[in-house]
Amino acid sequence: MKKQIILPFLLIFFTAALWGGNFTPRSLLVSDSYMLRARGCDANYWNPALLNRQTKDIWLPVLNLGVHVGNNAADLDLYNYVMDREFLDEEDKNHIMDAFKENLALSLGGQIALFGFTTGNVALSSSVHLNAKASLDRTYLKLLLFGNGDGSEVFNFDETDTNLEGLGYFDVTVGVGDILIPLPETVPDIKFGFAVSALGGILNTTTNSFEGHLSSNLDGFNFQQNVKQLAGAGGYGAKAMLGLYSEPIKNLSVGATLDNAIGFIRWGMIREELDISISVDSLYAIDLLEDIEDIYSYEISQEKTDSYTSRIPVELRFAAQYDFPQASISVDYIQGFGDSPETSRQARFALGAELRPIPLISIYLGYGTPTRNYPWRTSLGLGFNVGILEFGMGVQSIEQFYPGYTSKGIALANYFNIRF
Amino acid sequence: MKRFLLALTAALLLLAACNISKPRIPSWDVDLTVPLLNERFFVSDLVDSVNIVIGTSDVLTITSTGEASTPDFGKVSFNPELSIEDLVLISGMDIPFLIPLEDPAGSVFVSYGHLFQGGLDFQAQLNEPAQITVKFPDIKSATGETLTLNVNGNTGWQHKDLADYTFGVENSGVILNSLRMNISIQSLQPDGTPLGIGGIRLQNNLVFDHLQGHLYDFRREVAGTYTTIEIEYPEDFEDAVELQEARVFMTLTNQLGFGAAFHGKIRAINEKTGQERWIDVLDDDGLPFGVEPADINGPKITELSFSEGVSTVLQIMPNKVELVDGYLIFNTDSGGSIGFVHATDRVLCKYQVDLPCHFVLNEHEFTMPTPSVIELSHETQTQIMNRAQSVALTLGMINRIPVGASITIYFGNTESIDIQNPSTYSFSKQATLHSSEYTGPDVNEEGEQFVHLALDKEELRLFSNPRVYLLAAISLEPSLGPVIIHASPADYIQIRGMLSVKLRVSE
Repeated sequence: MKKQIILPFLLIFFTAALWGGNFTPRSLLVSDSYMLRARGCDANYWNPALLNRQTKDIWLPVLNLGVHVGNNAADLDLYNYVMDREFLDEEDKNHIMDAFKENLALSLGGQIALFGFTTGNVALSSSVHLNAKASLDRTYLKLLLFGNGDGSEVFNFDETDTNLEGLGYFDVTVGVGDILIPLPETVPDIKFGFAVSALGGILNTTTNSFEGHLSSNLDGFNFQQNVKQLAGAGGYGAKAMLGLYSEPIKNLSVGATLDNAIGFIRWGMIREELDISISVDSLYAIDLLEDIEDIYSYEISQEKTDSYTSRIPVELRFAAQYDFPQASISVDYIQGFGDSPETSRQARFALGAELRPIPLISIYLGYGTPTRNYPWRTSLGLGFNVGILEFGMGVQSIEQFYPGYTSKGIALANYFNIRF
Repeated sequence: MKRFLLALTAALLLLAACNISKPRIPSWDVDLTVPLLNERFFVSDLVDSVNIVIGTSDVLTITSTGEASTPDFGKVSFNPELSIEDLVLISGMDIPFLIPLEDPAGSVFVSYGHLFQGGLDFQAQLNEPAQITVKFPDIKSATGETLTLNVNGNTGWQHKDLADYTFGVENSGVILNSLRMNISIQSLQPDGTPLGIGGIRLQNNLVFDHLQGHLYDFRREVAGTYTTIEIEYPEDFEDAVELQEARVFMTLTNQLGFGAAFHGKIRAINEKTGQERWIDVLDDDGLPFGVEPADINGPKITELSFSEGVSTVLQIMPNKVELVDGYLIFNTDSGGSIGFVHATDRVLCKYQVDLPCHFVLNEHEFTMPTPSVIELSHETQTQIMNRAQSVALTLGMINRIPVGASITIYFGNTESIDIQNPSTYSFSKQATLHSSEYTGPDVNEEGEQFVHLALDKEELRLFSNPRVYLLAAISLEPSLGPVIIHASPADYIQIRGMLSVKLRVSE
């Protein structure tokens, strides 16, 4: 039996999402090709050089938010494929396994704008960022679907494919822009801006170690799993962003940003390391007749650790945008210098377009190129420009051009700005 | 404008409307391998210290012990049947006589003896009145006084009860061939005057409860107790093995001061087959074993053993072994030394029959007499039928014992499984465990051999019955020669087992 779910119903409530990247709600609508599109409070997070006296806006609490949920393997098509079958034969199981490359990575997160306003070329804003990533080795799925076979295989697990990461913090950001860099007249104007963020750490967790193996054969059932999960709550930190903007030729703008300079959050209020160790050595079914406590060893300890610092790696962006009378197209190049829930070492591109068939409506399109940990996605958004009000909504589809059967995830966002 | 918005909204709705199937879990098959056991079964674990022991050189030995004993030796008696009636009685004279003390059968010679029962008779026929005193210096009362008879005038035969009197001198070492008797006569007649005649008779049994002297060819029966061997041999096991050695050990404790020759038989009985065999207890020369006499320090222990022919007797795999027809022939040794015996003395006998596991194995199949039964609950039947698609048992075995066998298990749903009639069972599975002597491709470098038993879906249907019967038939692997089973820590069968199941996962 099938049932209908109309995704747009949900769009009323949610906006903007990201997958392992920094974002504001409107950036989702163009798949993060947003550096040169950001204005007002958004520029605080995308390119503070774009803060200027001509564009003033106010973020209202909660009305700018976004959530995302997704994975790197399963989609609705696969779900229906499984659910429509009474029995999964070998071909079906292989079809499921083919969907999982190395692991099943889950991502869940969101951003909520708390407040924001601009005055002159200065902006003050605040938002909450929540991101969680979990990854499960596809070997677990293999065990579930195929079992352990003839027992000849030893199954190994490590933190590369099985881990849990979580980061939540809020920021209070002050940005200053529209600073003209003194250059010779022959050189086009280049504006500079910067933003400084004070960060308050809400929570953080990371898998420090995940090592294990499993085998079951004539040598007995052997299983070992060691997990070290670090958790922190209550911290402080800071980061800074530097931005450049220029319009070398008419309608063509270019920019560059360096984000997360000196980015860190130091966790000090609560910091615990959970250490779980489970070991079963050469267990045979006949041993189960004995006292079960002699069969396995299980240790769990939770110790307070020293204060530690989560580094937020530096991220470099370059962007270009060309404006037409009723449209604009843009391309952003993103290069992180470290892996974190918000950054990646692997470079990617984001392409965006805004169509304005009439001044009242903006249609947003976006495409993000994939990396190993960042699946490609498209985005589609609809915005309304009614007087001083700008509001809209959008949806991002992971690994499908539109939200549908083969989407690996979805992000929803809305925005509501008062711009004057 | 309105048209455009309507078109865009419709496009979004169409794109985003998805069919989502109702959540439910499909079924699928998984292959699971579950390790079952990894055990070493040591030969020494068979030792029960009663019927199965570790013998010389760590050889596993089936043993049986028993006891036997003579009854109390009892009293030694004989009747001298002596009668002397022409002793001339002369007045005023002390006349010494020697009365022969002999066992007419020649079996008993007394050096010293305590009489439990016995007596003598004396009479005098006088012509004149006289006082007659008869003394027996070799016969003492319990208080050590010499036996003295006083006769006054003519008398008939006077009987003297000799119970509790002793003959001879204890530990004198001298055989008392005759009893001294002194007759003294006082009368009014001149000395030297014949007064008449006298007589003495020893015609009652002299019954000694303690005797020192010589005994010849004295026989005493040995009554034994049988002993059982609590070992459940497979049926027809006696046809599968040829015993190479067996030995009987005997320990005889002799409380008598006389040596003896032991006679008897060891009888073995297999009550299952009704077979019965026995062997005479004889030494390597075919003669009865001698039992040493006790000495003044106490009983003497004689240990003896023999093996000739014993394995033949035990080949029937008896469950009962006993000592039968046992008796002892006591004799004074050839040196003629004085022996001794009390009425309560015995000869105690402990015997042990040892059957070392040293045999030749013949190719022979024996079948368990009755099938084993596995009872399956309805829930278990359902689970097996619904979930188990196939089952396979893999065994990795290291056999350090020089015995190999093939086992065939017949599976059926009735009790009446006849391995000769395939219609009486559903299917059978065979596995072979080679002996430690085996060298061939079935055993890897570590000495491990593998057995793989698989049940397919069709065969698993048998387990939809509430009872499944299993009948095992074991065929021993013939040995290349005699083999010995040791019970040291290095003698074991190690079995590692794992179960491979194709299991259906479903709601």
